[in-house]
Amino acid sequence: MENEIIHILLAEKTNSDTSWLEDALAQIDTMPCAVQRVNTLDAARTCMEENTVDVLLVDSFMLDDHGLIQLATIHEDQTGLPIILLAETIAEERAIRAMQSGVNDYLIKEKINPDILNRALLYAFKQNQIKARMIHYSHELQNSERRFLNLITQNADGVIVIDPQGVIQFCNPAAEQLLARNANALIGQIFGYPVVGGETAEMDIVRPDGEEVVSEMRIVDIEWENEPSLLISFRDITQHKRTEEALRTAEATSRSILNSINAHIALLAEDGTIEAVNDSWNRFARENGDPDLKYTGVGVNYFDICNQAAGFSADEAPDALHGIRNVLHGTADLFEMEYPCHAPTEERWFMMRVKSLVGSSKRQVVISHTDITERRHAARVQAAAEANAQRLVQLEQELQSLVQLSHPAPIPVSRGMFGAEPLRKSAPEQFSHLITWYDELIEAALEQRAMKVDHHISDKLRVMASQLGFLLAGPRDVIEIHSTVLQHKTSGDNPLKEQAYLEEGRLMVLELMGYLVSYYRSYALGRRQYHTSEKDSS
Amino acid sequence: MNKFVLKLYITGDTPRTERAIANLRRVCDHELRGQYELVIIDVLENPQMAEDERIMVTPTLIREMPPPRRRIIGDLTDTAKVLLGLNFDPHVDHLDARND
Repeated sequence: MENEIIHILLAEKTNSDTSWLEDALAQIDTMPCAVQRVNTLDAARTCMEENTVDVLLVDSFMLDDHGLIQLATIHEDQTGLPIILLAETIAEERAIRAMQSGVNDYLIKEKINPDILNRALLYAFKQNQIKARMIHYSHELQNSERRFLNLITQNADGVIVIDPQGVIQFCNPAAEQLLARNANALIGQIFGYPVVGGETAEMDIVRPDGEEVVSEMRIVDIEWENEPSLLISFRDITQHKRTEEALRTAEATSRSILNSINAHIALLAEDGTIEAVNDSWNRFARENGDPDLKYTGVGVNYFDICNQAAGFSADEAPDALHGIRNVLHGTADLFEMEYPCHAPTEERWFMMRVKSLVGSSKRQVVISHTDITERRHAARVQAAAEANAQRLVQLEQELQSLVQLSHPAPIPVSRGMFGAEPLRKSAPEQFSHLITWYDELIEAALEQRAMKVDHHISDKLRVMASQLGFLLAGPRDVIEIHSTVLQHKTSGDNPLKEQAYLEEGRLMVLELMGYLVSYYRSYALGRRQYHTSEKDSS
Repeated sequence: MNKFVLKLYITGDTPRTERAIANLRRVCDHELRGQYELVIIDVLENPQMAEDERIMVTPTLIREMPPPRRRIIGDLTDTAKVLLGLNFDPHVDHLDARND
């Protein structure tokens, strides 16, 4: 207020001499003052409505009961206006009542001097500034509390306030809804004192209607109605938990599906790191020299595995690496490669297949290794069977040529030369005997191969061929004997033994057929010689 | 002997339930030295008991005996707070247990 004119309103009943006051005010250097006078408090109110008034000086003679009421009204209307009472003398009771009506200070007229007046004015100003500030802060506080309460009330999360005994002091509408109980049923009830490890905890809401609701509980220390309390908020996460559960189930199902597949499957990151594998992958790794999955498990770099490959599949490793990179970089959709991966005791073949992971935002590929050993064996057996069939056709053709050579006149092919009917029909007993014989021979051949003993298989096959020739058996009879025995032999569940039967049988049938050809060749030559000698003698 | 009788209200067989039971058993075995009786009540199987007890959330743990009766809620992870919440005085209660 320094250097500004202080507008003083003096309310006095009479036109008494106030020059003492004006003199005193004039001597206050720090505050230039302008004094205006009124005779009644009503006139003071009117004056304050029309003019600027910084301080109201009131003569104590005006403060009868009615005057005190009027003063209180002025105080209420003019918030922050300093009011100073001027008195000749004043009774304590009246002074107290005056203070209650808004008077900041009072001065005894005869003791007033510039210093006292100056101090009284400054004190009144300060006091009112503090009062105004307090009123402002009080309003702010009330507003803040109102906003806080409003915030809690409008909050979508359920909020309750409990005292240190765990008794509910407050709940918002969302809490009523979440707990399925109204405020009357909640407030005053023991809720329980929260004990959680972190900032939040998942809790199950127990609702009277039995509906299962999961919520996330958060606890904050607050002061509520001047008491240390806890504000507990609940957020309904039921849907979130259900989604989580569904995701977990879906993940478990996907994993089960992956683990049900025999192929060894791994998911690779762009840098080649193995991010996930199925059980078959781990099982194969454990059974093949990596029991702790240190070299082929999750976290290992698959590019390094390819670079460090040794053994049977070492030659194919660079191609595999190249193929994986092509798929990772999008230059190929798919990479497939067959490669050997032989174990010390068995021959094994695998098919490697690399495909981009569908629906992934990152560059990832799925690698699968499928055991194709059986398929390879089957293909090999098929090729051998086809070669056998071709060889048999050749033998049959050779037989026919021999027959033609042995006859001066052409003889009808095959059936004319051999029996009219298959041996199985024309001589079933002998056919059965031959089956048993061939069965024994194939067993003996297998033993000979495995045990390194000599069962003279070739000799026995030659004898058998003579027997077949004697019975006029043809190549198809040989094949029928062979296939009947092998069919019986390969109906078990030992693929390795079956493979051995197939391989030995293939050799045996070729040898037997060879001997039968020899037999018929000798037979044809014999007949030719016989015909020649008959012609000579005639 | 002041044997503790504790009632733990849970909802079904969930990870939250398992966690609370495991935490409570750890606290009981370690701090109450086996001198306790724990009753686990599933509110899905005994809704009336939960209603009678005015259980609003689970897990809720109630100290039935010895008095004073106390009720705490939460995952019971923090051992110190569990003991505080149960109004367990290690000096008094342990001495009682040892003297028995």
